[in-house]
Amino acid sequence: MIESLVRCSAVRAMGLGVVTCAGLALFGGRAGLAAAGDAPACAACHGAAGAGGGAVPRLAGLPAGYIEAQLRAFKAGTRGDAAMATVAATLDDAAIVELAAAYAALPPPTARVDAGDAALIARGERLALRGDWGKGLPPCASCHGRRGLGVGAAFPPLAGQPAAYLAAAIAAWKSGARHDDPQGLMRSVASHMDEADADAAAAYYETLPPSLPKTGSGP
Amino acid sequence: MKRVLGLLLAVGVAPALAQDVGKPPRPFAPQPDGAIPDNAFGRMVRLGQAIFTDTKTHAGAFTGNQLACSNCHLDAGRLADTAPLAQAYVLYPAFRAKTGEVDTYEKRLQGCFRYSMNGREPPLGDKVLVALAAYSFFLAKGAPTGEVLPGRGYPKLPKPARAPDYARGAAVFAQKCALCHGADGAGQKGPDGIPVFPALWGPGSFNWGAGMGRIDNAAGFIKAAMPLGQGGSLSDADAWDVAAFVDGHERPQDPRFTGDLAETRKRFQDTPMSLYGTVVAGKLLGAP
Repeated sequence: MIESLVRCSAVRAMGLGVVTCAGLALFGGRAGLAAAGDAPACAACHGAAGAGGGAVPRLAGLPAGYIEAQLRAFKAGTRGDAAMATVAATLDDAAIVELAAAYAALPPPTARVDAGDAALIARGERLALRGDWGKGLPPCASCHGRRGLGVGAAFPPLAGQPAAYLAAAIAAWKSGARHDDPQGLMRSVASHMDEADADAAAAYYETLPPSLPKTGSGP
Repeated sequence: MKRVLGLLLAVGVAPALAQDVGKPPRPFAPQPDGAIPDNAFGRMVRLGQAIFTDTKTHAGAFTGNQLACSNCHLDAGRLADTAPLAQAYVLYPAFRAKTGEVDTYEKRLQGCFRYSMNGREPPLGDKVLVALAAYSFFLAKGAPTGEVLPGRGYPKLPKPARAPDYARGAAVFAQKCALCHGADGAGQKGPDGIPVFPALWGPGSFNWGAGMGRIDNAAGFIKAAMPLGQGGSLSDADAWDVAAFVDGHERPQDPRFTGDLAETRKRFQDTPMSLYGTVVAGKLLGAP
């Protein structure tokens, strides 16, 4: 996985856009998805288990409806990302639905143990759970849940997503490169976040377990 | 580095101090969490904050729904125009028309549990009330008692030019509110079963005795704070309409219900701001 990621980054850095390796199975070798033929290999960047890493998000265990909406947004250009726009352009609606369902069915990776910068993470936790109302910033948790596990198809899980990916997403909403968020909610939120806020919140969410504790004692 | 910091401080702070001379004192601001002392009082304050933001977990014996105080009192009870705690704390004891008595702050908190939380009143002296009062007292440090401070309660919107309209409200709701609160108003939970978006009506919401069941309160809150992160974005008319829509749905019975709907309305809710006991969209609201 690391190797594929490295290769993927190298290709992106060279300005070639996207990894289109016919030799790589599209999605962990699944026959149905491999049948998409020349479609770029998701696994080349997102990893064989869909766990993501670096600036690449995890897909495993995300709600199917959310993944579908993202692929459509890449295709429509409302979520600006040159690499993913190229990928999404090769996918018809049936492939989008199939891919989304396949990734949604994958188990989320186990918790990332990331020591990280304790002060940064603590600041991120505060923003996540309490926000910074002095500048109009609501807590991330008020829409993404107390554990960052997301709600439905419109509010994706943040827990366990790579920090670099989350920080880049906030920057993209702020700049307007990404404007696929329902009711412009993330645009509003991001407009109240400076770079340090984004880095802190992203660092915090990266440390959270992306799935429910097995013996949870939720209310 | 130290020198640079010192220079910044000198440049940044000195003129501010000079400007403060002869000016009226700063407007009241609730205490930050960082000021909670590390002692027995501070622990009670922290418990109060925990109850306030995660009510069912920490005061579940007295709640009948899964709402949290902080659903309607934002920033853990600090945010102006969302009925902040400190600004309320300094106005008690007070005579209240709702009870016809002079109520202490703790008595007022009992009402929150009975109506907004659709639960039962913690007895006076119960740790839940002590903790919430301690938290409020802590937040209110430095606030003048008996003064109506800016940001208190929910803002009073100017009276609407036309009566708040259920059908128009339904359209606003579908466009601005349903994404989070659900088309059925029941709110939404995360995969861990913990509510993320509170229920606005139906069995999981506040009951007919709650302040938020009054259209004027709801309109003020909605205008100030909704959609979350986009407060102030709705027009006054939209806020009134969507408040009438939300408060025009069925919810748990008023615990003061006498057995007679018309009588209960007349005794406790005789105001055009309550739709309890009236027919809305073909339904008699509050009918047992």
